[in-house]
Amino acid sequence: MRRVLVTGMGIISSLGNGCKKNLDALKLGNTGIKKAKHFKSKYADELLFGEVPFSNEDLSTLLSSNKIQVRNRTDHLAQIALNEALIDAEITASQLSDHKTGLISASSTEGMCNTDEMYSDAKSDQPRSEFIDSYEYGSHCIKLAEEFGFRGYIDSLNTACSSSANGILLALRLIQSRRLDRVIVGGVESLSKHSVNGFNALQIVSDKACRPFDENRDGLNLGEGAAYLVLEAEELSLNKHIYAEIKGAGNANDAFHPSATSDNARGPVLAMQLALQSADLDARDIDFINAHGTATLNNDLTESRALKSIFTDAIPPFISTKSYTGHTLAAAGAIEALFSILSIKEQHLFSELNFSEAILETNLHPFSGESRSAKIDNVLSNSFGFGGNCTSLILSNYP
Amino acid sequence: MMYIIDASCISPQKEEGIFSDNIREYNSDKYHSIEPSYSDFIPNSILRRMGKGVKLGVANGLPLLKKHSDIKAIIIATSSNGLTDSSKFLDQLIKYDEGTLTPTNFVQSMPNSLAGQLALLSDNPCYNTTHVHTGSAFENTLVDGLLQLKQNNIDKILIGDVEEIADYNYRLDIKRNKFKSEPISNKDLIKSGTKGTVSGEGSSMFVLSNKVEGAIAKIVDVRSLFKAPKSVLKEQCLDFLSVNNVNINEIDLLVLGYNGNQEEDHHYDFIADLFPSATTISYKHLVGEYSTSTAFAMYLSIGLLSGKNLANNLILKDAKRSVKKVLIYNQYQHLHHNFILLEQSID
Repeated sequence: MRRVLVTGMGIISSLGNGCKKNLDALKLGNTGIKKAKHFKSKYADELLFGEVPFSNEDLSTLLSSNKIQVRNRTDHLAQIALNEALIDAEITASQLSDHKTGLISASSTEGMCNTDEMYSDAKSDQPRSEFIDSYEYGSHCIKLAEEFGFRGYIDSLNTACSSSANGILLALRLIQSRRLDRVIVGGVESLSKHSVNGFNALQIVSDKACRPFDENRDGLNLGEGAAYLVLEAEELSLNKHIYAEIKGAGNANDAFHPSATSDNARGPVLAMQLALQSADLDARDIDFINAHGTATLNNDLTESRALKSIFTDAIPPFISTKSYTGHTLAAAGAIEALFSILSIKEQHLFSELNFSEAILETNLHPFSGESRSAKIDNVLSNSFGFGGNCTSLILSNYP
Repeated sequence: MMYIIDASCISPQKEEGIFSDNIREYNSDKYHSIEPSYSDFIPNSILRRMGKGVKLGVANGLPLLKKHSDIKAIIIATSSNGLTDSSKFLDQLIKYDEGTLTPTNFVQSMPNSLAGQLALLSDNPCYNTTHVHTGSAFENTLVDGLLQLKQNNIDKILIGDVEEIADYNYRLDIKRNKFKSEPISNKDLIKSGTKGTVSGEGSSMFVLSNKVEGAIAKIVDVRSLFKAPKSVLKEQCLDFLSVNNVNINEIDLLVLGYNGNQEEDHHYDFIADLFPSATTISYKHLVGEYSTSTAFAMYLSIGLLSGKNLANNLILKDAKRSVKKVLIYNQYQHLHHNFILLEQSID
């Protein structure tokens, strides 16, 4: 089977702009979950967010654009992170426009970050706003393609909170099958009134910093950010700096409820099994797990049961980096894959924040305390979403 | 290899209107689907909570999932599923000034709600995903399907599209000047010679298999381009046929996405000129314009490949050839250019 390698990465999150800033924060245990400074909402003062620490004006100076006239916050975040990944992997303009190069990018918010303009555009007789072309699914992805010059396979997936993990799965298969040679894949999310009010209405948002896998967890924090990976076929990656290999991926549906996971964790268990099978690895080969771990009552119990059912001998160290970034929805799969790759590249175990007491029923302890160096060859990264969409990725040391 | 072994379609036309000249006439810029009696397919208790896209898609896809119990993937394309609910949630949000809101509309506003419901109602835990990249979303499901059918132990999958005309996207599209300003009958749409088009919706679903048994037609290949100038469009079209070992003269039927917008239809004239010996047809006067309309074009094409009647109202140029090889070309908003190559399957 053709091997698929990560040759470039880019990220902007509440931990900062760029891989270096994010790595430093993860190593030091510095959280990005704080009071929002830039997000405008009734909840801005009541709740904590994983907000990217830049205003839209500041973001617009981080990357100048000569092609895209109108950029909303989602576009800024996506373009900044994607640009870092392309520079990192030294991708040329002709490689970008090559029809064997693909772009897959997910966002559940799209232009809804401009909720008020969207309402006016869709509901009033007011003249159209400058953001009118930004609300459609995939619109940020079209702007990425225009800005950077992609010309071939372009895709945007939406499987809610597993969207960009499914993007990575699809990119892996596209390259393995030789349909494409190179895919830039990731996701982006910006804070919006629409999503904050939606999750709040579901009563799964905490007003404190989230506590994944803690007995006393009481919900998630919403976050924003973007992350992109450059995936290339092994034979195109000669003489390149290689971060990791995308070793396997599994996608399954929980087929239980539109917005809750099943008691027996059918979807999560199946997704992890399929990922292990496709990587040709055994559960005991996994050195570290970047869990979905949203800190909702429902997810963390279900995921704990799933982990116990897959890792019957011993459960390897696991954490949820949502305790640093909050839940970045469609971008979470890509951001967490990138964090997983950093842990492989640095041979470093990042530690979970805010954990004190294990869930009574399952008694699983995420790795907490001081981060430390560790031998990490294979990481499992989980992303589960509404609609029952469960996806697991396996990222491995290369060679 | 990818064979189509079953298919189902809900559109603004009745089945007989697709393959005869007895088509339903539309004089507005909204071509709504002819909806089935949903309670025949969906329990009333959950029907109440479903948005229109989910209802259309479940009514269309669930019977296929029940008939083929060994389906191992559900792959959906949509650019609009959930927008009616998204709009309702937005109304709540503004009306109550971010106060206490009910979450049902929010959950139903997600585009993947259809694929999720199909999995739930058929108790299918297999591969499940939703492509939303507007004018290439359906072609992307075909590519994804092709990849799935290469996986071990997967030899039957469901792919398809769903679109709903929600008040929300319709009004946005009016402000984006997408529609015709004058009323026009769908019988005159393609030759209207004016700017703008009309909106459409519907759902086409296909059961695909890597085995030829029971096949209606074969999907040879699919290719999508982004922002292709004419020179690239021609080069890529010819390359697409060439890598699939098909000669230009072998294309019997060219299915083109003419939507009556004089600013866009030159793309189709250009492609038609590359195939002087093919029969050429259009289809958007039946179902309107929407980003995944090629799913309907594929439904129409496999009917014609399996011997159904080619209605006169579709024909732009009749080469009087029997239909063995079909090329579908569609572009969406000058950005997305897509080719789907189909052929007769011999079981």
